[in-house]
Amino acid sequence: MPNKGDSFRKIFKELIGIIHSKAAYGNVLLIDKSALGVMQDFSTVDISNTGECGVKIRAFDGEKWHETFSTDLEPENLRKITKDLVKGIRIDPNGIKFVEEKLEKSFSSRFQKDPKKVPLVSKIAVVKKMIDYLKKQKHLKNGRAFYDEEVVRNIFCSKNKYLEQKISKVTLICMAMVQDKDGQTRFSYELNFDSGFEATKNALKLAKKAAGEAKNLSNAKKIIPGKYHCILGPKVTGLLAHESFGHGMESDTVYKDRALAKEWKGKRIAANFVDIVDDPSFKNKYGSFFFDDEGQLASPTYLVKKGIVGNYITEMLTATKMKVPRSANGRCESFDHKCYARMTNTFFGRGKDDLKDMFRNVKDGIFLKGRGGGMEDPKGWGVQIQSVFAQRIKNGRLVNEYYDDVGITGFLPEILKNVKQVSKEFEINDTGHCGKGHKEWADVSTGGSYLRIENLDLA
Amino acid sequence: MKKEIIKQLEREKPDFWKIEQAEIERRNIYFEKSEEESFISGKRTDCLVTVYKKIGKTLGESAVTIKEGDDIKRKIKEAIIAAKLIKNPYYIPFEKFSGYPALKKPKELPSYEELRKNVKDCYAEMKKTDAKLNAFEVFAKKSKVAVTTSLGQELEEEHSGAYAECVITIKGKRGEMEYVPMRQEALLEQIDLKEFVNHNYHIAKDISNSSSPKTFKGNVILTGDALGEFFITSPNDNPSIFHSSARFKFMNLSRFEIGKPIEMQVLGDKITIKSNPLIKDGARSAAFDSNLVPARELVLIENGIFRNFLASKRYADYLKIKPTGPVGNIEVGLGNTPADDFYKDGNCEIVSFSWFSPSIYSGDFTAEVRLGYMIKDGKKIPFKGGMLVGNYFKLLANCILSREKWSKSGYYGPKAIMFGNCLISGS
Repeated sequence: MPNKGDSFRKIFKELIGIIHSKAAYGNVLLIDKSALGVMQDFSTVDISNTGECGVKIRAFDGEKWHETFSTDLEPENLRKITKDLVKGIRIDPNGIKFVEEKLEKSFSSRFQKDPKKVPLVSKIAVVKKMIDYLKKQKHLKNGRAFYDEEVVRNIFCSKNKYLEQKISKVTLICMAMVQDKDGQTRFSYELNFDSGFEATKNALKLAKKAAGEAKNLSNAKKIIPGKYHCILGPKVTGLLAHESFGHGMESDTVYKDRALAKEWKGKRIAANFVDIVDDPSFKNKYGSFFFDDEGQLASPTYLVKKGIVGNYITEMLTATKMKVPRSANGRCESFDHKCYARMTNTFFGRGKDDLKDMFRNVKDGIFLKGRGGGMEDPKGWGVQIQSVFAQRIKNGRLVNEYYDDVGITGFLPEILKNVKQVSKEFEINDTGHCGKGHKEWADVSTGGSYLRIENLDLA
Repeated sequence: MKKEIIKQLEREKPDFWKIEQAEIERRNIYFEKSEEESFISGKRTDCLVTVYKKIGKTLGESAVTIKEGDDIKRKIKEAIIAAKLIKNPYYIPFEKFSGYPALKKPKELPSYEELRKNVKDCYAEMKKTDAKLNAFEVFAKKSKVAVTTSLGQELEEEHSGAYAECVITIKGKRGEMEYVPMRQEALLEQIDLKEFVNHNYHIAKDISNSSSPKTFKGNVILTGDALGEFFITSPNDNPSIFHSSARFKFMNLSRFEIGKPIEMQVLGDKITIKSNPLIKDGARSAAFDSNLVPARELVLIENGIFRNFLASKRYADYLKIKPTGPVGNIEVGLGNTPADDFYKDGNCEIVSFSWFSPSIYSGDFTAEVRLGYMIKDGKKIPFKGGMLVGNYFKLLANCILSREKWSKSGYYGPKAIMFGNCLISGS
């Protein structure tokens, strides 16, 4: 197997030659992923060093993609599967033509401390430190701490492009499990993310926060369904931007006539202080990269700019079919999965309001703090966010009244219309895995600004 | 590669080791609107090696993926060093078991032409209606899993998988609406694409003519996709499976105790839930787990009483119980009531959730309704929206099970289940 950049370049360029002998366009993508995981609970520790390495080879005939993949990277095998792939391809002379500029570049994540140079014992020690702290907290039933380190190397090769990137990700997670007054188990969840081992520097603080939130959860109630005046924390606003709005702005979803956003393009959906952005070029976030799986360089896309519905996030084929600008959102779960238009770091952009002032404006309401997940409904723009941990606000202050497994529902344009303030406080630190429906998982981050929203339906 | 790995393992001498190799072949076809957008065909192999090191009364283990071109010697040495750093309670990873069930070998993958024709036929069928098929994805998969251990055991089994997902849009009183059904089975013919599209056309049509619900309190009947999702989103996301796991019992997180009721107060039918990996052509059938424990049918909950924990070899040893093999298809015992009896005025039926994802720890959930019906004057009035709010375990303790059978994507059980005292939060 070729293991050096130059050897890959030679064989990949040769494959591109084979593809272009029969097809209108082609590209080759290498995905080489290594992941180290250390997980500890109150009784056991597990270590895994997993990964995958394979190549995706695509040929385009003017109408559709023909794709193959393999984990056997021997040049002889790659030549054979590429020849098999293009056998029988007939170019449609009136078909779609992709335009691609010439580009050769190499990128690498920047970090303070290279995780690969940190010995395994230090990584185990970080996890142990968190668990040791949790074990001393008498109110906890159990706890779990995770150290996850991932290095992804990609090579993208086409007739005009040869791009390489190496992305490093380190995530530290701490969970604390507690029994509530009804005997139910509830859990708190805190995490730190960075590109390097510096993600672990606040390990103890993370454990303390998880233990503290777990104590609050032990007194949590179910919320009475109804409309509430709310402050949404970054983890929840990130979910709202992602699940409720972002999915409906994916070009392949729009192309399939699945998105109500198409009817709103260029129209006002929120006040002029509201921006929603997807930005894979954001430095050192979980959804960040330098180029996507179709060789498009990362840059931000404004889905909503000053309250007006803006550009779609796109992959290569539907962007070309729809004649809309390409963005770096062509992503696949792995080399054996298709590229779709997918989000990266999607968030409400930084506002101008002071968070303290936003709280002061809530006499009686709910602070939706974090955790949770959701499901898209691009055609109906129905919002479903669930499993959110929340706290009561009275006279602008947080009081000791907690709610667990809160759901957010409603019609998206109504919710966005009710956004009254966006904070200047801004943080993106959470990690997530986004599906296209129930499959095709991609790394994304969650975060952004705080929002104050009136009349939000909670259940 | 396997020979080289075994050579290195024999040289390095961990106390135990296993090699899991998986070979997966896929054929996927994708349509956007009525245009064929993509066809993917290929093969991948993955190899995972786990090494175990005994130190005193403890056992350390570490798993490592070996990729094509890796320095096998270095990777195995590193895995053994990692295992030496871990001191978990001791257990015996493998034993010699007998009585492995013989599962049927899967058929060859359908050809590109066959997949294409099947999908095109569905488009032709849909053209006869007032709806549009806006996307269609059909996947076929064949996999071979082989496990080799330091005890000299070597087992191999083959699986197949099929997946279909489509987007149906249709105009109704509510405007143009969509439904995105999906189905996963062991074989493509179990899905029957034409039937899949026809059945879901009616759901899409009702969604397009639905209204938003008012807050509802009362009996909720789960059927169709909603019922399948309630029991088998994925076994790890199902609170009753999670709390039946020996691992979570060992972690002091399970609410279940053997011989005790799952909830103190049971109204209606008493539920029985089994894990069954032996069902012929089941979506979740398997002959053995990753530690080569043979598959068997296992009663988890019987008439509302918890009976058995699902235990891997490791957690079985920790809890001093017998290992149970892989988690399989979920079988729910039938009741005595005809499903038609559930459809009384004032009751409500849910056929599809946007996403049913309860907390596996507490069982609490809030799930948006994608399609439901209010039963009024003997008629079913469709609605979309609102959130079913409740607790998984409390629902299991207050239900009536239909006597008719139904199955989907690894769920085998009543065609309809009526849960009492439910809340749908609406306008």
